[in-house]
Amino acid sequence: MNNQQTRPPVISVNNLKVHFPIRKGVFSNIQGCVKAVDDISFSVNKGEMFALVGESGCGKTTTAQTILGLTPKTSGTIDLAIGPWNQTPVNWNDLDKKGKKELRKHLQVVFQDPYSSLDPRMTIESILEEPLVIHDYAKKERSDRIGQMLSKVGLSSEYLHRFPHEFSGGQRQRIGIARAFITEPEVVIADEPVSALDVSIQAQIINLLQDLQKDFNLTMIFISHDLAVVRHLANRLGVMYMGKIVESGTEEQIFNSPLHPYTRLLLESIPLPGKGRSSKGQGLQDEQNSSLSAAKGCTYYPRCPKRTERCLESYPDLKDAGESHLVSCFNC
Amino acid sequence: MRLIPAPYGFIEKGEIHFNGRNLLALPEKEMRSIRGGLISLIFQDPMTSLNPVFTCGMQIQESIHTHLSVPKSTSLDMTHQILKEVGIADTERVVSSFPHQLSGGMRQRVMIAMALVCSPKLLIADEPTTALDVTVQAKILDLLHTLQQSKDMSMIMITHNLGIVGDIAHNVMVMYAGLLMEYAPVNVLFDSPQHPYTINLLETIPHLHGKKQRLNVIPGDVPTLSSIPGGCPFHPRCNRCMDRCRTSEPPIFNTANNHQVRCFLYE
Repeated sequence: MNNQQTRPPVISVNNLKVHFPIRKGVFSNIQGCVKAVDDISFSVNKGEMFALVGESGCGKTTTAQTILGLTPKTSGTIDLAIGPWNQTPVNWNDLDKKGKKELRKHLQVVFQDPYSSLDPRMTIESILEEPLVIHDYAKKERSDRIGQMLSKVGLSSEYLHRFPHEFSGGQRQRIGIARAFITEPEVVIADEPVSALDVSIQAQIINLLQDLQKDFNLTMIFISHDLAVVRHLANRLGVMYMGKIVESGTEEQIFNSPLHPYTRLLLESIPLPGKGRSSKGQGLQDEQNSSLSAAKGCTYYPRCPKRTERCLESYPDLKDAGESHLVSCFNC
Repeated sequence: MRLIPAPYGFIEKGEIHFNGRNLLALPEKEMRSIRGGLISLIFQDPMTSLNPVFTCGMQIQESIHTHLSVPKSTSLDMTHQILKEVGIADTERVVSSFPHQLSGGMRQRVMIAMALVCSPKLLIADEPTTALDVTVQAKILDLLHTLQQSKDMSMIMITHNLGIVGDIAHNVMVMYAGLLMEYAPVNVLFDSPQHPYTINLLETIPHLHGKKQRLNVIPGDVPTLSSIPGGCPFHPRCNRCMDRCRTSEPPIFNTANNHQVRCFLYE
C-alpha cells in the first residue's frame, strides 16, 4: 500500500484534446472540427477501477482509443506508468516501434461487440495464442498460459479447436476477455464489455471481471453507459458530456450526492426494476433548442434546468467540491 | 401482425382474437387494412426501419393515404399535428428532412408518429428504446405513456429491460425459449415472483441503490431456438430443478387471481 504514494498514477491524462477536422469542397479545405474530446484531465491509480460514463457520442471511446495509442491526439499529454516504465511515465510519441510493442503487452483492451471483435476464421486456440506469439513467448509457455486462462474465464479446454461462431455471446465475451488478459497486462481498458449481452449473462461477465481484477491486482478503465453496472464495478468515475468531463469523484460521491445537473438527469432517467423512474415527465422539450448552445459557454446550457446568464459567457472549470469530488458547474 | 416470412415459417395453430375477429382467419386484403390502421408496430431500431430515400413527411403521409381517403393537404396537416403530439416543435424541418438528418431520439419519435397517425387501437412496441441513450429513453417512455393515456390505446411493450417494465406496464408476461413462464400484474411480479427463472432474473440485475453485493448468476447460456432442451426448457439452468422437470414440460398453473406460472413447484 505504501508504494501507492511514491508511485505516479498509472495513467494520467492532462488537457487531452482530440479533434477531427471536417473537410469540404474540391480542395478538402478544413471547414472546422468535431471536438470529440475537448480538454479532459484525469488520472487512474494502481489497482483502481475507473469508469467513464456518458451518452453515446460524448467521447468515451475516443478517449480510450487515444490512451491505447490507436487514435492520434490533437494536444495534451497521456503519461503511462506501465510495465518497465513504472517509475518514469512515457508517452506514445516518445517510443519507437519496439517500445510501443512492449507497452501494448501491458496495456490491453476488451471490445464492446463480441461478435465482430473475434476473427471468424481463427480457432479459439489461435486467437488466444496470437498475442503470445507476437510477444515472443516460448511454445511450452504459450500452451500453459492458454490452459490457465481458459479455466480462469470458465471455459473448458475442449473448446480450443472451435471457431467463434460456435459460441454464444457470453462465451465469446469470455474469449475476448481471455485474449486481453493472457499477456498479464497491468492495465485493461474495457469498452462497454457487457452492453451487447443478455441480462442473465451480463451478471456472469461482471462477476468474472471483478474476480480477474482482484486476481491480477489490475488497473482498469471501464467504459459504459449503464450506471447500475458502473456502480457495481467502479471505485471512481468520470461523467462525460460532449467531450468534457463534467463531474468526477468516487462511486459514493457520484451516486449518493451527484452535483452536476447532467449527472442528476442521468441517475433520474434510469428505470428501476419494479419501481420505474424516480422522477417522471420532466421535459419532452430539448433537442430543438440545441442550436442555443453558445460557442464559449457551457455545453450543457441548452438542456440545463439551472442555467444562468453566466453559463453563456464562459465554460465553468472543474472545481473541487470537497474530497476531490470535481464538478464543472457555476451553480452547484 | 401476420408478418412471419411465409416459406420459412408458418403459424402452426392457435388463434389471435382482436376486437372479436380471428386475425389468422382473415384474408390478406383485410389484414392489410388492420396493419397500421388498427394495430401499429414500432420497431427496435429507428436507424434501419425508416426508408432513407424518402423524407419523414412522405413516410408518415404514406401511412395516412393507405388507410384513409383524404386529400394531400389534409394528410399534411395531420402529419404536422401528429409530430407536434410526439413532442417535435420544429415540424416543418422534420417533415422535409431525410431520416439521416435527424438524431436517434427524433427518428424514434418519427417512427412513433407514423405508427400513431391513424389512431390505432393497439400499439406493439418492440424494444422501442433499446438503441437509445438513457436520457432519451426516459423521454420516449414518458411520451408513450402520455399518448397511451390520452388516446386510450392498448399497448404491448416488448423489452428485456425490467426497469422499463416497472416504469410503464400494468401486466407482465415473462417468456423463456418460446414459452410463457409467468404472467402477473406488474407489482405482484416484482413483489412476489414465483417462477425460478423470474426470481433469478430479478436477482441478477445490478442495482443503483442499496447495498453493493456480488451479483447472483443464472448459470449456463440462453438456449438457441433450434436446440431447446426437452421437458421444462429452463431445467438445465434452474436451481430448483426436479427429476420430472427433465422429462415433461410443466403446464400453466393458476396460483392466484391473475397470476399464472409454468412450473411444477406450484402444482
